[in-house]
Amino acid sequence: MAAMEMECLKGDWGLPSVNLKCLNIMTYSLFVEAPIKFYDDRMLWRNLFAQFPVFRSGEMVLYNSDEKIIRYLKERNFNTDARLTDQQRADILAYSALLEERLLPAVLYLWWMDAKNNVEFSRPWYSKAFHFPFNYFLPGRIHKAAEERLECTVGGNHVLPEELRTKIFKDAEECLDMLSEKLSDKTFFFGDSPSSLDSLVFSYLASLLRVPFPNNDLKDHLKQSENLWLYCSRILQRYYPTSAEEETERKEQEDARRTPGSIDEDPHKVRNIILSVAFAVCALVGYSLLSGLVQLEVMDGSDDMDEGEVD
Amino acid sequence: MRKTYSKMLQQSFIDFCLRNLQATGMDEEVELFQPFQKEQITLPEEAQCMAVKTLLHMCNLQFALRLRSNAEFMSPSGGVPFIKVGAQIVSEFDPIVEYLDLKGISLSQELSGAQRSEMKAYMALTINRFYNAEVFLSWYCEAIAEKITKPRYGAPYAWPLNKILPWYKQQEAKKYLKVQGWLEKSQDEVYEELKMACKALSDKLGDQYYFFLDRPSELDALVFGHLYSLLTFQLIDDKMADIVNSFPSLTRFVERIQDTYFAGAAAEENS
Repeated sequence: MAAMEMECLKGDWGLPSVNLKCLNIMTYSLFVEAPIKFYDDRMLWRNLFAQFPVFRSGEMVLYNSDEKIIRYLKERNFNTDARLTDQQRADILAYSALLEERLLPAVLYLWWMDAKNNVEFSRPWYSKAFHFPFNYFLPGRIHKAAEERLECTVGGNHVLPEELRTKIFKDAEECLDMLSEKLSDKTFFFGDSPSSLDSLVFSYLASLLRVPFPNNDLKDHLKQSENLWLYCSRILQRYYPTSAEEETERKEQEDARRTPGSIDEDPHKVRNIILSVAFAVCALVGYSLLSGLVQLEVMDGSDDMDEGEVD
Repeated sequence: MRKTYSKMLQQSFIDFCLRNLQATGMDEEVELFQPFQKEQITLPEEAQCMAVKTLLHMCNLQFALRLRSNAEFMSPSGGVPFIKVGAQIVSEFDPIVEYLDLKGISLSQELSGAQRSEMKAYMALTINRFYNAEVFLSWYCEAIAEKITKPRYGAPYAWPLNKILPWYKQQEAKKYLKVQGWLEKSQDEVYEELKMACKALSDKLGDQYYFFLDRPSELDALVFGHLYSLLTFQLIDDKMADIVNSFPSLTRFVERIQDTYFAGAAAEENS
């Protein structure tokens, strides 16, 4: 069997990836212990529309479809749903459609349509997530795709921006209530072991809970339904124990770094100032020489004598 | 004097309450607007109209059917069908369900919370898979779009509008599919999606009469609308109908609802 590898959007805040589909596949692969190698920030020039995830296995490449990837994994016997009844499998399909219709718009809205989140949070984060030169245009493309999606599926000419916001969040809150109802007090949606619905729901819940949006209307609602909140932290603890620990460590380090003040940044500042002054001087001198404002003549003693003779 | 005054007040309060009570039912005539059935309507529209009609029938609401060639442009959201009650206009399936709910008419009152959650999930599945597949087949498959959908959509207009408007609508449909990632699918994959959705619904339905509790719900109306259209709408081949027909419990379901709610309508059409 060919080795499986996948290119993802990078993660943060204790999540291995902030892209819903990537997170879904990553969690699913942990459920079934599938040997997939994950890369972030790699081969972006082959993925100019930022369609994550990109899944490769031998010759086969799957773009942008978590559903297809999971179907492929299931064919390879990495299947969590084999033990389920037909009706439960039908439920999985139905609930994933529900999530796509009701919760996805809210997540996209939080990332890209909310003005404050977009300017203060999403754009800066995304432009740091990719390396040069992709950081200049990939965030814009992702933003545009999200906007188009919302406009075509929920919005349109007849919906005012404010109405769109209330509608999206109302739908999302209803959807969370339904999930909470479906989960009730079980460990996973279908009993004690995870299914493909669990990885999907987890990817949504985790990004709503963990991504620190400045404006997050849904987080409070999600915290109110205790079972969903516990469910999410249970999966995080069970399947991403290291990342959670790393996260706290990283935060501690950051705090530690912040307290001594700006001493850390000073050497860079001095270097930058020197460099910029040097560059400015070079540019000025170069310009004045080339344009003829200042002329330099190189004169030898012998030249002087020659001139004298001519005169 | 004082007593009569308070009595008057009481009387007017009772009147007020009574009037409010009446307002919760449908006291005005319901009109349903949709494009012409025979020459004009396209597959996705047909499915949506059928779903709303079934819903109204199931709620036992009498409605007058109004056929308008420009129904799409009369609708506030640009989608057909829409209903007009007095001065109010509500368009498309979900808002109509909500509107009826406000008026105190609801098919899913007796469902438990978990059942209602499941119902909403399967409704999302129906829209997400069936509707998208219908749009895909009728607008994106070139053969079907050129032969069936575009001529039908442009039927009420004269040249050049009958070329321009269908083209414009097709661009819109393609955009709708593109943002949801359906343009990357091939025709066979779309048929596969249809099959999966049908299988899910037929597994859910099992041997029951209706999806929940032996009585019709919004889900039944929606599923019937889509399945009936898939079965009866004439495209260049019968592949869609074949897919639905391969699930006997679904075809039985369609027949049953047709007999219960559309027996009268069919007789009227024939006469």
